[in-house]
Amino acid sequence: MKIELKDVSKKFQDTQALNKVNLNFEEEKIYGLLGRNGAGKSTILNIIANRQWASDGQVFIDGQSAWENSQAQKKVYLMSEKCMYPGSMKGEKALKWSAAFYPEFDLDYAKFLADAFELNLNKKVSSLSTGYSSIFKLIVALSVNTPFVFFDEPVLGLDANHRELFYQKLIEKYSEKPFTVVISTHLIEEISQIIEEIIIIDHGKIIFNESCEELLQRGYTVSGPINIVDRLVAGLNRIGSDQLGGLKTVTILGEQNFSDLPKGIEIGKLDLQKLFIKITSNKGVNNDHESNA
Amino acid sequence: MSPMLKYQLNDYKKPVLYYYMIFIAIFILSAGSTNITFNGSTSSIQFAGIEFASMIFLFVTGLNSFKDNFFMGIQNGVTRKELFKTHLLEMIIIAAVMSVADQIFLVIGGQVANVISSLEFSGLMQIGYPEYFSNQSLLILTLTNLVFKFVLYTMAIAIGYFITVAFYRMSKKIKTIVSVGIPVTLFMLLPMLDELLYSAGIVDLHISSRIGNFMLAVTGSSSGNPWIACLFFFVIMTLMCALSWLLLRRATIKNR
Repeated sequence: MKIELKDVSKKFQDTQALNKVNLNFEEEKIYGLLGRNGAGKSTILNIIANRQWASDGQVFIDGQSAWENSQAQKKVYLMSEKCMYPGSMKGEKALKWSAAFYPEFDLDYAKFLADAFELNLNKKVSSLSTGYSSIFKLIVALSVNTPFVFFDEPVLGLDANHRELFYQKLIEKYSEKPFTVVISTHLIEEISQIIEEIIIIDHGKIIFNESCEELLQRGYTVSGPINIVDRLVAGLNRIGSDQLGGLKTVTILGEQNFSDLPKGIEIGKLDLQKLFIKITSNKGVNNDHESNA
Repeated sequence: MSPMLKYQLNDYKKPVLYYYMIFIAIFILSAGSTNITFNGSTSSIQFAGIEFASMIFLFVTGLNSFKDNFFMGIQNGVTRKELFKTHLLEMIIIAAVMSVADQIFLVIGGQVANVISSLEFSGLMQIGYPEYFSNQSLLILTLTNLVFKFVLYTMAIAIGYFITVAFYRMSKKIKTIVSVGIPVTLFMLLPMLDELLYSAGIVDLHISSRIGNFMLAVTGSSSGNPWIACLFFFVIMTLMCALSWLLLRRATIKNR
């Protein structure tokens, strides 16, 4: 079972939100969908979940067209930033209705999660704070038991404790019964430990789509005195650099082949956030983006 | 029953119940107050055209039955097609239930009015089509009454639903233009134009009078035939439903 996006484009008046996106979400994997504001992350998720229609191209869920297909839509659940439940509905009632729509919905687990997150289910959905509104939606998403669950900015407004609890419950749930998880977020550092696959979207185009581990192995940093670093990285695929005083750190994409490192030079690992910032910075992937601290 | 239909009907349950509770309370209070004598005279109370109240109620519920249901449906994997189908079913069920309920009230109210002379109780058909009402058998009258109410109520829901879907699809700018433009056109510009054209002798009859005559004809009032009204209500309802579907099938979830 998989979700396929074939040449999907979306235009909002003059804005090209997605441009011929080709993408697959495979079974039982955890994806990180990363991109800057307005890159097209939410648009992809909204098109998959039948909330918006693609201007061009097609989306298939388990081989069936996703648009206006209830059979296909029952296999996906999108937890979005927007609360879709009626404001006057109480949390408990919303959970009961979710259980009516999704036969696999685990109501007991949802109530257990509500206790764990200290969410008052007797409150109306509209009266919940931003953080608790996110928690409510997370609880539904974690209890719905569909093969594909999409989280669009899942930790919006959550404090550090609740964020950690969410990641913990997500991993627990995934370990017990694996399903496809797609997390679209700005908090890259936090999800870097749990995602297997990484998709980076920029200006409506997929610019990276590979295993997180492989991606991180493809890059490294070279730090040291400016003149030595410059000499060492000449001709390499530089994706950015930072300068502090007389020291420079250059980010390189490619395999590290230095046999003998000059004195004062250090080779460091890339972290996901840094890589993301470098490759989605306005100057593009292959430009050496100088920044002076 | 699909969860969406169950959900939508559940949404209607409380308002309909409250509506009839209020209605019954008013009726009991009114019937009771007819016995009170004030300054030597007994008060007289008239209940005329209870269907009109139901029609307004259903129009308002129609206005409120789109956005929340659309969001809830889409969140839970319900397609627009399913959503529209369940809306039609819901409309039919609610209109049928309220038609029967109102008919029962008409019969009960009529019986009570027979006992209390100062209480008058009549339905819309009795007022609008008195000749038809006095010439038909009880069976035909009941059947006509039920069909008349049913199409009237479905039309009221369909108009309310269409307005709310149309407003949902409009941009802020268009919404403002329509909200201001329609009342201004209907209640200011058209009457002015009507008067101008009539005074200038361009038309021999006021446009408003022509519209009035047209309405009397299509509602069967001029011919005294309620079935013409049923047909007219049905056509309007079908048109509203068709337009609602055209708007709904490409409706998207708006962020604001």
